[in-house]
Amino acid sequence: MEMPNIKLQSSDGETFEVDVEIAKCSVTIKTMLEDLGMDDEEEEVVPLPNVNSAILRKVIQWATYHKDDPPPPEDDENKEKRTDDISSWDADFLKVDQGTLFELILAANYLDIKGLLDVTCKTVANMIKGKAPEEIRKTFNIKNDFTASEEEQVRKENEWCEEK
Amino acid sequence: MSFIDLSVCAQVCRRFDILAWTPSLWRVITLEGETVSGDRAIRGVLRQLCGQGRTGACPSVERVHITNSAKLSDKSLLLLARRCPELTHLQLQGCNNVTNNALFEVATRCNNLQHLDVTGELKVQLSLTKTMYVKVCEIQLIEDYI
Repeated sequence: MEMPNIKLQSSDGETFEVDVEIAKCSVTIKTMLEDLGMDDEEEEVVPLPNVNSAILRKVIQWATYHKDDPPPPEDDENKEKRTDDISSWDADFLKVDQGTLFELILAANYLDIKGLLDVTCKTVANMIKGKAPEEIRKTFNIKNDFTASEEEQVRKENEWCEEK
Repeated sequence: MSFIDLSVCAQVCRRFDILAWTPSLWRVITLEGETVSGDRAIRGVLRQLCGQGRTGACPSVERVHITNSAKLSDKSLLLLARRCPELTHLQLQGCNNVTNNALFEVATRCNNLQHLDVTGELKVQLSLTKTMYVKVCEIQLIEDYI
């Protein structure tokens, strides 16, 4: 039996036809469909005003590849999250410019797709880990807005972390 | 992110400084390695989280793991006992300078303590940990002193 499709409309008006089961990996869409009873209405269009077409295309690509994944495990808050467990497909998928990466994070957050949010945030975490403050500023083009004395103060406050 | 990465983030810019010290990021504090000054780290982290005041508390801190002899003394334990009422897990591995008194203080003040692991503590005596065990009877104590 063929799965019913659903239409998703991006903020710039492009419509994407997607398998309902794939679209439902977004908790936001799943809830929307359930609340509105749109389950069997094939011609409904779900507007997604916070996601543009370029990003929505990426999100659908990710969701399609991961459609048969088991549901992600609940976070164990007592365990530090690993960031070195990104699959090679995801790593390739996320070889994008920073702007796209951050828009994917926003979209994953808005659409409530835990797996995608996890892997995109881990990618950013990996860009931070092991770097010095100045390198982090360079990586993300962040302006150092500390005054000289503030910077000294903050450096002192965090001195315990430095290797002796 | 490890505590080292977080504290580096705090030095990037003002916004990162504020974000890095979000209490929910510090529910578990893990310190390891001989190059880390456990005392300075605990003091620094708690000062950031509790503010400078004498009465400030860090209810967000639930687990503290100190391993591989990160240098830690009683001072830090007393600080934890005073400032972290919600502490549930305390693991001190190879912290040779920690004494009975400080551990007793932690067990007395941190009413939610469920797990105390003092593996390899040279100055901690079995008899006292037994007393403590009775006092905080639900604590799951790991007794391995050799």
